[in-house]
Amino acid sequence: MHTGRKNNRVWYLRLLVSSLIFVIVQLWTSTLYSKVYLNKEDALKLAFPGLQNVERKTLFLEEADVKEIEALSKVRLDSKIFTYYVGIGKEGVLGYAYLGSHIVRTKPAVYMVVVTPEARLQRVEILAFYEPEEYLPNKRWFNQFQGKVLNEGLWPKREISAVSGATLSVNGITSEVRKVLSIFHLKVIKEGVM
Amino acid sequence: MKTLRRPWLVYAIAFAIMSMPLFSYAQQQGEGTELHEMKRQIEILTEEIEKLKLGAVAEPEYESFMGLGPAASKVYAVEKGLSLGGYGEVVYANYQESSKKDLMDTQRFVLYGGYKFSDRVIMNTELEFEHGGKSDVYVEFSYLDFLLDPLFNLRTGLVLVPIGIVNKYHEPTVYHGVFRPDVETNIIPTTWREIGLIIFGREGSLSYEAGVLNGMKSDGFDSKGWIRGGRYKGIKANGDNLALVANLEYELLTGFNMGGAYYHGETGQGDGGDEVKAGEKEGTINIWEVHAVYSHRSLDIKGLFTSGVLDGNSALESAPPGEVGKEVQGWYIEAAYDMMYLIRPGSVMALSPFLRYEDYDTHKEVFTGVRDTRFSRTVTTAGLEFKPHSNVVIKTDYQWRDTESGLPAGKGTGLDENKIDQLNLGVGFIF
Repeated sequence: MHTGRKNNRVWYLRLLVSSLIFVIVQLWTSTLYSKVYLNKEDALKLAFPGLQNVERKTLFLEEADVKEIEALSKVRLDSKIFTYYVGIGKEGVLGYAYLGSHIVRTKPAVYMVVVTPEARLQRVEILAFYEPEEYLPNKRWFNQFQGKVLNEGLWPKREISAVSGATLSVNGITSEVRKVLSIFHLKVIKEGVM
Repeated sequence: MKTLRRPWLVYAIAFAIMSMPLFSYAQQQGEGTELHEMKRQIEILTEEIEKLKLGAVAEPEYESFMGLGPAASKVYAVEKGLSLGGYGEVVYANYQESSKKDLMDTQRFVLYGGYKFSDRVIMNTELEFEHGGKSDVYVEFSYLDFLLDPLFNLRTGLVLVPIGIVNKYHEPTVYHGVFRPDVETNIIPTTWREIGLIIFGREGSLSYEAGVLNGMKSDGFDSKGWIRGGRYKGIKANGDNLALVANLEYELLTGFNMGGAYYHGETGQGDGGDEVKAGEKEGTINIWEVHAVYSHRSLDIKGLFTSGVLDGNSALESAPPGEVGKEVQGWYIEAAYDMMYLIRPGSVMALSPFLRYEDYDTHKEVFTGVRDTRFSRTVTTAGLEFKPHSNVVIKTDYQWRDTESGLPAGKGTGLDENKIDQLNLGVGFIF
């Protein structure tokens, strides 16, 4: 029994050593993998593919606006400055994008919300995530937002699925999306769908 | 015609009158430039604010070389370095038989600390104080993550064994009930952590973890919790015995995950560094489990099935009757429904009644003598949990406990402790 165990151990050690060599080689050579997935430039290209004309705009909200937005979104607003991007094509506005960040547990996540001219969600994208990746829901979860509008269903455990072990991310991102949709709806688009 | 006495004065006044519009034009020009300048400054300020919000994302090019992420270090609140967190739970168990004293316990308080050396090298540690910390203070895990590629990463140190549902997500806000499921306590011994090396990765809906760990300690095995007492918990583990573990998780649909794990490990006696003696209890442990988790809207359903076999040399297998079982098996199914949307739609609070049924046997087969039927148990748990905040939970439940034995419920000789029903109360938090 003991010889068998010693043999096993030799195999384990071989596995260990080869893994370590692999790590060293990887750390030396790989440059791709990091917590920042997309920078602003690439994110806007993703939001408005092929569009040259993307305008940057800033809203300065007033106290009354904040109240109105919070009442609609049921989410607290933490800034009165709202900078967004408008994608303009030959036939006018093709969509709006907002890039923002929020704290997940102790570290932030940076996201992008893209909406159609009717205030319908087109995509929600994570641009950077500084918490352990176990807290980040996968791509399929983010795809759920596509086509959704701001209504009472747009909450976790309603039209948005909960993810075991990623509750904070799920609640946080959904709240951010609601907030952004409310601002677009009330202050930018004004005649969107709900 | 009277000649003007001071013609230069008339010229001066006329000039002044005529040049007035010019003057105000110049003034307007000045104001226009000022307004333009202010707009430009506001534009710059909003850009700077946006940069602060977005951090490295706002940088035109994100470069990282050998851990020197130049952009990431500029981000507010995301400088490399320390992050703190933790969780805790305090419980009360009211046993429904007077022969067993009720229990009030600071079951665990855990402090989490992480340190990010670079984007690719991260340290994670949890320090655990059990039962108020009087005697049980443990490092729950302490490992280094080397993030190399989404498909292939390394974790080494004192790591969580990737098996079951609860072992990985063991915080009190994640599982239902005051106590963790029995099956994931007495068969899969959560919180199960050992020293070793784990490779892990994700591709689309599929994720995996596999690795080599230290084995178990035969001295700690018993009939009630099977191999639970054999965990080294990172304390002077016997490095002569090793174990292999592999785990696969697959997301079938959003909210519907399936997974399974296989553990094959050696077990020996004593601690690392001890003298090797003749006739030590040596053996192998094989455990496998499959599980599924389904969440749709307010509904949460979980199920797990697990089975384990212990084989050993004559020293281990000649254990007297009533000791550790040779074969164990167990399963449970659990359903919870969050009703908060009916009371306060759009709230992040939760109010979930839940129901769990468990059936398990740590004496399915024994080495010597006959099975002890007190270890063939069923537990039905019905309870309610309220989360005033997603990180805080207040729970209560009632557990109906039964066994295969014909003995009456109670603690002591001739009684069956595993038949004692209990009413539980607990609070838990994570931060």
